[in-house]
Amino acid sequence: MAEARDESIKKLFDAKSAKVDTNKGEEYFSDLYESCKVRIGELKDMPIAGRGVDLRKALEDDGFERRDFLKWASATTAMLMLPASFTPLVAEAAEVMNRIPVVWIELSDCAGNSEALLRSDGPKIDEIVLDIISLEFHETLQAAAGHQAEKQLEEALELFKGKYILFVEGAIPLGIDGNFGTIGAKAETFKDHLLRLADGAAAVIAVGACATYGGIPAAAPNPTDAVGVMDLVKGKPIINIPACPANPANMVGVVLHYALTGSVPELDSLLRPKFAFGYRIHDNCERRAHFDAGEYVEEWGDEGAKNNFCLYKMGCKGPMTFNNCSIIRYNEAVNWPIGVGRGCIGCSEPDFWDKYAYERPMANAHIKAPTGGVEKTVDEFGLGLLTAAGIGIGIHAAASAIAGKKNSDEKDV
Amino acid sequence: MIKKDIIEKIEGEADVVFTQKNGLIKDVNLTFPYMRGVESILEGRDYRDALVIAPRVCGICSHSHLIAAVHTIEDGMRREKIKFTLSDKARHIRDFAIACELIQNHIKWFYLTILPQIYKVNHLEVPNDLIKKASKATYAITKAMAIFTGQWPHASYVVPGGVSCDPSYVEIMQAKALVDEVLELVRASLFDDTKEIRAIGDLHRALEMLQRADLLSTSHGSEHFLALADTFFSKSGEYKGATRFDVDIKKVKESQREDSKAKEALYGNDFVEVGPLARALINQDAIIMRLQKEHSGNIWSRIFARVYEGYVLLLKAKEALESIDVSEPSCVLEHNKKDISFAGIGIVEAARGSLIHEVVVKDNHIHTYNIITPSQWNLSRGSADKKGVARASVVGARSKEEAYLILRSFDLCSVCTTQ
Ligand code: SF4
Ligand code: SF4
Repeated sequence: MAEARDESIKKLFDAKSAKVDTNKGEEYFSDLYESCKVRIGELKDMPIAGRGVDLRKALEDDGFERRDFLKWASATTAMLMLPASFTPLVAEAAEVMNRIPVVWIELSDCAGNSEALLRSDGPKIDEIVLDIISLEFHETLQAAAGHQAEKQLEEALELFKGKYILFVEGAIPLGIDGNFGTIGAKAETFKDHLLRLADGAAAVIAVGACATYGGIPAAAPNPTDAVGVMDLVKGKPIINIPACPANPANMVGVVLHYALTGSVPELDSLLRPKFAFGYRIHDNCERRAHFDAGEYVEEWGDEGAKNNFCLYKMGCKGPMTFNNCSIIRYNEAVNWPIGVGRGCIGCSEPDFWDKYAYERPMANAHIKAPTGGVEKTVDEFGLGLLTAAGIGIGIHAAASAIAGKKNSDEKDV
Repeated sequence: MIKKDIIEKIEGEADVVFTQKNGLIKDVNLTFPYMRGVESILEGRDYRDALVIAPRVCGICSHSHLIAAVHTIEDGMRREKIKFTLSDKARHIRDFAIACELIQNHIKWFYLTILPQIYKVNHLEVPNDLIKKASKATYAITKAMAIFTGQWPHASYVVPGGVSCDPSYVEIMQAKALVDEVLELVRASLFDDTKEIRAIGDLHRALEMLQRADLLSTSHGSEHFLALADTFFSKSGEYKGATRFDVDIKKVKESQREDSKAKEALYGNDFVEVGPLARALINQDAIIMRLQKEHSGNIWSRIFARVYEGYVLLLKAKEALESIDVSEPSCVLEHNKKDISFAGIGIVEAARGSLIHEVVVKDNHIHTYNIITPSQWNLSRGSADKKGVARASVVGARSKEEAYLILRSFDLCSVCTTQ
């Protein structure tokens, strides 16, 4: 089953519908290939950080065969938008990922991203790969407590200065001088804590909607004056992996990309990796055919719901949301929200709590297309889509309301 | 000598200040230096938005918050005579998911919170395969849940009048196979249920270590228990002096602490213990009653009761799956396009105890929203002569590690304590 899934994921990422321009030309990719090879070689010579778990062994212990792993590597290569010839390199990168020290902190959060990442979510091999990342510090996971934990963190910061990747979960409350959230015996505010840790990091990765855009804490009226990482941290590469919770596969993707190339993946203007957020939910949605046919769920539990019709009228924000969860799904790829008949809430988009309130159909949601973003590809595509297609979609649904009415009238007879 | 210490960040963060005298813990002060203000974020929004926002109160108990939120709406609708019938199918699906979330919480708590602390109290090295042991079971059970809920944490498949999912028979079988997988793991490493329920493997090892650390001779318990919700697996009640009383929701009180972002919850004028041990005693579960008597309310009965509830819920989860009739409707709600106003209350039993959501809706918009979480009960501070439950239970502990173990037996969760 897992195999079939990897195959289908690979297919989806390769499919035209993805619409992200991956064809950068042969020369670009052959240069990249060479530099990745060098990079992996360098990593191999580096000492293993942290707990030093060996991927091969971890996989074997869990009953995975080499073949499963290579299948995973090939699906991941496709996910990272690299040509299939990169598969062996991706596999190697996964094996040397344990050279990259990771520090993970939780600020104003609900612990949901950690929960998703560490205990309950994501395809199996991704889990193991995450397991072997040398997590130098993770407050929830490590055994040490209190002062001992603080000491461990300080040591890791010193030892891996300039090298570690800082994962941040949760928003940063700035109200009452940051005192809505403090950490440790010295009651350092979340803001100071973040800035201090970001200072020595090679890159900062914001995971989840809260860390990227402020998320729930920043939703109106934003009682604690919460902001996201990119509002505070300057002069460091920042990668946003939004969504609520963020998908573990995308966290692995970013670290893997870093291991492979030594650089951050290509980002859109919201600093989201294009490999994950270059896809529109709506374009890869299993209910899309019903959207196109004008077949909608009109009420919970109606005939449309029974037939898995499109959820647009029930407030689905899939048409304006960029994320790959329609492809990689959640909880070992078993399902995703639209799969159980609830629309997408747009959790990877900025301010979605205020703009995309769930029950309001999109046409009434007062959604403004994001402005700015001079970049081509995803942003341009996204902008055009949110404006022009957004209106088009509204009209389409309105027209179908009449058609839908007719259908239900027929049923009444 | 007063010593300040920080508790390990297990579920959010709490500051812990112990007061020690002659080597014994005399008092403890837990404060929560953190808050988001979710209640005020909910105010002013469409009441149905609570169904997606409430789960985000806590990534650990997200589904319990979802169910509490839908209960407030359904309660309000009932009072306003808005017609809806919850089909048996919808009820079984919700119950199944509730069971799954509790099971995964209980297993995770045992392996990642309590067991490591028991090792520490014994000055033994914490084995590093505990995470793996826990995750095998928790992956499987959350996967089973996601078949119906779409994802975990933060599922949103519940709607007033039912659920949005419409599972096929094949999916139900898939979920059942996953539950069986977890049952097998539990039978291999926690309970032998061939004759009489008996702790084996890791659970038995926990008992041995508690014995070795001489933690079974002193009591670290309370005498006053509460469960507010009637559920498919437990009944509501108050349990005091070995007698069960009916509950009265009007007796629930909340007060703001000055030195912390947390609010305290009281029943009448008392601090009460909520959670699996409370539920088992109120339900007069023979095994737990016997244990409670034997060990007069010490830490072991609390630990055993929680893990045991996980086992019982696995059986209940299977029952729920077997009872689903796929031909029934998933949701029946007489659609009400008019703006509605109502007041409603939703009570559920979450992993750590009773959880209450209360809402007042005016013209479709949330006027006020109030949440009382399980940890607010157990972690209430109280005063010097009337101490909160967890606080009272650490008095007399012989070391900080021992005090942590007792505190953790209640499972501190600051995420939901402060919201
Ligand atoms: S993004 Fe969602 S899952 Fe992550 S901390 Fe925020 S509310 Fe929780
Ligand atoms: S509107 Fe939503 S449910 Fe409908 S096709 Fe688009 S993403 Fe899928």
